[in-house]
Amino acid sequence: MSALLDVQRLAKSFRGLRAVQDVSFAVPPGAIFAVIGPNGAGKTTLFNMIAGVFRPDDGAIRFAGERIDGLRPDEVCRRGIARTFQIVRPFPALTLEENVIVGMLLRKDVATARRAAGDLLARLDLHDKRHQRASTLTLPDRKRLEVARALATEPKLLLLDECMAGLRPTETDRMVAILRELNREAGLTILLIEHVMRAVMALATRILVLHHGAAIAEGAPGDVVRHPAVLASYLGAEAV
Amino acid sequence: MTDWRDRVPGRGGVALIGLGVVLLAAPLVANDYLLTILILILYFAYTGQAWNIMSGFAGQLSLGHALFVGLGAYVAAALYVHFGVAPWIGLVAAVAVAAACGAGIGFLAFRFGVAGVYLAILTIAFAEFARIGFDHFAWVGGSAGFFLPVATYTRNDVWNLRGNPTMFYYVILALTAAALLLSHALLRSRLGYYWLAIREDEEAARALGIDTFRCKMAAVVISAALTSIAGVFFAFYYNNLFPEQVFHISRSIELILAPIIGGIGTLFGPVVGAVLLTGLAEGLREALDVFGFDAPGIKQVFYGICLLVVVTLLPDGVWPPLARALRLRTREGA
Repeated sequence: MSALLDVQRLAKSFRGLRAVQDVSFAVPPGAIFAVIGPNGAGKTTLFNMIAGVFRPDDGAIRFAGERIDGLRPDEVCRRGIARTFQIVRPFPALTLEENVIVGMLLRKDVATARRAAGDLLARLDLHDKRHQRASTLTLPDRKRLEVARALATEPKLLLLDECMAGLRPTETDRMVAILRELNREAGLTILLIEHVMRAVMALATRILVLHHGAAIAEGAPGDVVRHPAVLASYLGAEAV
Repeated sequence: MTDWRDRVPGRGGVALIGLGVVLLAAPLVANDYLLTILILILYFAYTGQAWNIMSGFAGQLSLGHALFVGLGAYVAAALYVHFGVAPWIGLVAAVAVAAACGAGIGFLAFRFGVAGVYLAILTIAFAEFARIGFDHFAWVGGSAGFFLPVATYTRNDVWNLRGNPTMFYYVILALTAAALLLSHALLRSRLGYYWLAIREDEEAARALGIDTFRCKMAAVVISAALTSIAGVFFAFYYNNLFPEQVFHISRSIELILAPIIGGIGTLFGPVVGAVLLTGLAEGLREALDVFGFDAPGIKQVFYGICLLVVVTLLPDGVWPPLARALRLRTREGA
């Protein structure tokens, strides 16, 4: 089966600092693929190259067989990749409903989007707050809105940048359940960067570990967390 | 299912219809002096509405909108004086020139990521270029000014925009109503939603598939085109144009006061702001006249006080809290 997202020998430097070097991996359709690693490992840089924010210095990114490296973020989104931001970026003065409508307008007309917005917010447990301004939300709700808005563009691949950070364990479990449901029911492929191992172990079908910009391990969750290099660099010996 | 109540205008609709009737009937009771004040209010409501599209909805700050007023005024006036082209035809040319200039400025700014105060400075710069350029443009009178023939007209000639204040009143009333309807339609369109998104967070907007460059270009072009129509009105209403006046930065500032006071980015903010500012400023001058005070510059002082009060006490402008107080159903601020 051919990969939905195929990353080949990707590299990016910032003024001589090699943020990402020679990273390759493939995400099959329907997978939940996690990228983990310590702070500064290059996870967000990798993510931003896929999302079109940075142009890679070297390497190739293919989505559904088509080269997408170097495209603008809006062009990447149009092709079916939606993202969330690590530091959430809701449209603060707009209501939750309007936030979601903006995303939906990529593939729907205004009338259809206005009707559909409520249902999508309900999936993320935000329906009761749909007429509130996004600026009034608490952090967990903002994280959920971020996911709802990305889903509104009807992506084939969802990029989640630490969407669990700052959530309490029960909130994390709820988010995990929501994402699993989306993956199972709609066949949504998910690529996530995550520090919360509780969420990673519950969700991921495959894990890639980055360290100093390079991939040091890739595999099924159970194997990766026992990998010696991963233990040494990231998880620590006591994690096992 | 559609509720029958949705088909009946709500409080806001009734108020709007009432206001429309009052405004339509105003010339029957108002004298010429009151009419000229109403014209001034509507003029600032209109230009405020036009500026609001670019700076309020799309969040791209312009402090040089006098450029588009001036271009509209000079193009239509020059075509009328030199070639006898009627203002409604000249208006098409005026709109085309202003839209092209807006597109040029927008392209320069947005292609190179100029935003915020830097964009504001760029718009000031272009207005200043025009001011200095027209000062030396002999074909339209240069710094000595450009004048439209004035005569006493026995009847109103709407086609050539020659007539009494009542005629100008109805023209600017129609323009303001049209601008309001257009803004309303734009806000509910895909483009309108995209503008709000860009205003709130451009990077997040881009991540949702929005071509922000094109949306921002649309905002500046539509705003410039609408503003130039006010310029055409200005030229034929006042009959004289001086580069030092029409293109001056104080004109650009004056034009954005109504939406700032009324509520930036709201539909009725520019209208409410224009009523408050111009209405109260003229009222104040009248009152001072009655008591025999002669205070030049009092209008500017008054504007300054209004701005201070609104910025400190009502940072969203007068309209959003006013709408809440009147319990009108709006999606203002959105």
